[in-house]
Amino acid sequence: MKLKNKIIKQLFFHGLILSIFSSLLVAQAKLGDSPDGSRSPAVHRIKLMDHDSSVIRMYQQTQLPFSTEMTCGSCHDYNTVRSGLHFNAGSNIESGRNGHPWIYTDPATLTQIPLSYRDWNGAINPEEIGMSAFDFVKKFGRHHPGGSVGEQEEGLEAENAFRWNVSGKVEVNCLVCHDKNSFTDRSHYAKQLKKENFRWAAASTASFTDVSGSAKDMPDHYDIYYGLAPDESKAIPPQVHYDQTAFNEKDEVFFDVTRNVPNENCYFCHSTMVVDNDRSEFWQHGQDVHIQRGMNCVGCHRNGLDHQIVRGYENESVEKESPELADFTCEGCHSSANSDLTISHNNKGPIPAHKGLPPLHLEKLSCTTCHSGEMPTANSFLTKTSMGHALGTHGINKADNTLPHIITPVFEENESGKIVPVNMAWPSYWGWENGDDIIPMTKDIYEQIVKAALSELPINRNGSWPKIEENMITDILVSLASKSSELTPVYVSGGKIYSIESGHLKQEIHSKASAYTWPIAHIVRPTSMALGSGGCKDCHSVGSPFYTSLIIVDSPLQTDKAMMIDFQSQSLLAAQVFANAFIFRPWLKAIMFLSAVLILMLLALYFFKGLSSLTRHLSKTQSK
Amino acid sequence: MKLTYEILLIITLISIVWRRFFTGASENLAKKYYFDNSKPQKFFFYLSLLFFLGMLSSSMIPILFGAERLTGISMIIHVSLSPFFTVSLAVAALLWAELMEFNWNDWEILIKRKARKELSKPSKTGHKIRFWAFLIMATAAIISILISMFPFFDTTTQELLLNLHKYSTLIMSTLLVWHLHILLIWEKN
Repeated sequence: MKLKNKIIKQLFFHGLILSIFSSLLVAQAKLGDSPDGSRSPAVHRIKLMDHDSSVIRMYQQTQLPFSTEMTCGSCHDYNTVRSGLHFNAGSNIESGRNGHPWIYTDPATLTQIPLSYRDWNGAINPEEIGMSAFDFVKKFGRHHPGGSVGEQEEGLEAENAFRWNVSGKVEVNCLVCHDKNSFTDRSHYAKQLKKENFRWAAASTASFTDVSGSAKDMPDHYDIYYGLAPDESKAIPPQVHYDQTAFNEKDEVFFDVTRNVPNENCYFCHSTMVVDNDRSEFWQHGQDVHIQRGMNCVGCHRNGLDHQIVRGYENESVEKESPELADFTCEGCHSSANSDLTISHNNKGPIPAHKGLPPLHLEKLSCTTCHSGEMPTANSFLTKTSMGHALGTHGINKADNTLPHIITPVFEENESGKIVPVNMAWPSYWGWENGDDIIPMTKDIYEQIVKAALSELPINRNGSWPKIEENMITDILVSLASKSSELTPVYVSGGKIYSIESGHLKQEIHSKASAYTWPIAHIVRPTSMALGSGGCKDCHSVGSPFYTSLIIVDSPLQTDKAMMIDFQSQSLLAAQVFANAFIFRPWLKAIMFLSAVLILMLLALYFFKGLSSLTRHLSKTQSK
Repeated sequence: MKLTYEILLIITLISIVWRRFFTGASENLAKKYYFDNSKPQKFFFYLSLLFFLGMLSSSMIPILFGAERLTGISMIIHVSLSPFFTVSLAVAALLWAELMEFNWNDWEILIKRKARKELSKPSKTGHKIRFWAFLIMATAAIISILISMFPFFDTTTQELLLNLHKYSTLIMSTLLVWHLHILLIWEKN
């Protein structure tokens, strides 16, 4: 009996340990991760927690910025969230089709480099140009909602270990998207990142905080808990002040956050504005037809807790092996072929008839070619974007020509043979020629040499390229040649590479110098403003911009403009001949119509003659 | 569509090779039967045939070589030849219609089925059938592509019209191959 009890006790004890251990292993869904089905928004009156997971209380003397990982993460699985599309920009996981790159520009060193950690065709990894994760966050974090490059342990490289320690990590900034409070200031976020106040950046956007000081001015040994010694520096350390009136007696604050992110929040990173002298006023620029009709960005660009936001491009469902994603493409909503939608999104759009449009067009052109971006004109435009030009932040150069130069629209043939509208940025950088490959030079190699060579040039206040001559490039390349005995220095710009051969500047077209392009999805124009709404001649006419629009080949050096058709596999001659044929199209129709009528009349005539003969024959037979 | 084209092409090639090399038929047979004759009927017949072959090759060749749709230079050639073809066909039809009118002898040949031996002799009845069938198919091909040039129909109907154009042309091609084959048999006999 005693033995039996002992066994039972042992079993119970081991079972208890096992169950405790397994419960620790199996991740429990957090409070906010499993919606109960209510469409009513959850009120977020919550306690703020710092990165040490201590609750921030008003009576405390030293106050740290609240941590989104600890504050939001107490109810939402932070690790799942940070695997999302925006936050994983510091890796090449599920890169998908080309997107807007980060564009490093420096007119003083003649550089414009499309950068991305993603595996995008034509983009250069920041590490290749010697840009550390720390510098990347400082430079481009302004329009990145945190996580990833500013947070991953491998990103906290040894060379900046002390600086990371002072600045802290850049956590996922939930507020930048989800906070709908009008006082939320996203430009503060950009400002804090510039000051290296990474730990304070997310908190600085909240309406009840005020962040001052700068981690940038702090020494490497600065400690956020102990601050500076009185005699160390007169600089102000980074610090946060909370508006006490925002706290209730339980030390809770109210966050006006929403699951359905307002469009305006998306615009902080996803605004574009075309530079067009005919539309100098902001109100003269259009808006996406879907937004005009009352839809939201997140109506199509949806996501779950993992924040894998639907990008909505054509092959996304295939690439991600998620058939349901096809429902969120243009065709998913607007094609009769996709009537068996697997996701109920209640926004099945009108099915376009495309009357008179030969079906070939739907195979050779993407929907966006006719419906998205700017209408092509005789000359391409420059466009400004939030990510490219830091729109919406303080102290930016608002000149029309300021770098980076993003060219739009360009109708380019993609890998699947479809013509799609793209934005384009021509890379300009210093590199080493290594066989057929071009390796970008790190900034420390070229910066001083280039700046010294161009020091006599007047400062270009509009932030565009300085006016340079080819001999300046020659001088710089000669100077750079001393930096390596094995590799040849080159300057990549305007689709060409420039190098020194027998003392002379040689230029040749090189695939590595090709423009970086990324498809245009928005703004979407309505049917009446689509390409082709004016008839076939919108594209099939001799001077149609569809083929002949002049595309800027951007470079500090003098370059010839390219033509739209250069980015397609079509022949200009064939296109022009075909366009000319449209002059005779009314004649063609008339001739074909008359011929068909004549043949039809003959058929009818002999049919009736036959019928007449038959009736005569039948009457003869009957009379016999 | 591509497979149909391929089958048609193979049949045509086999037919020509067989007639040419195994029966000793001359390539000039058509000349003997038709071209020597300066009558306008013959002229417009050959003119239509020439344009039709031009249109057929400009549309078939790219598809046989893997194109899914007719585009570029082939399309331009195809479209450029089309008004000439339709006009010459209409004129040829006008000139040949009287000759190709069915009579009671044709009826008897077809319906009453005279002696098999008689049927195997060169007969104009088949010629007439092919003529009128060709015209019906040509009308379908012309009208289907003509109305697709106007903004009347949506994408689905456009696709349907295009298929109608393609298949009626295929039947026209088949009729033409059949007709040329018969001409070769006439020559042999």
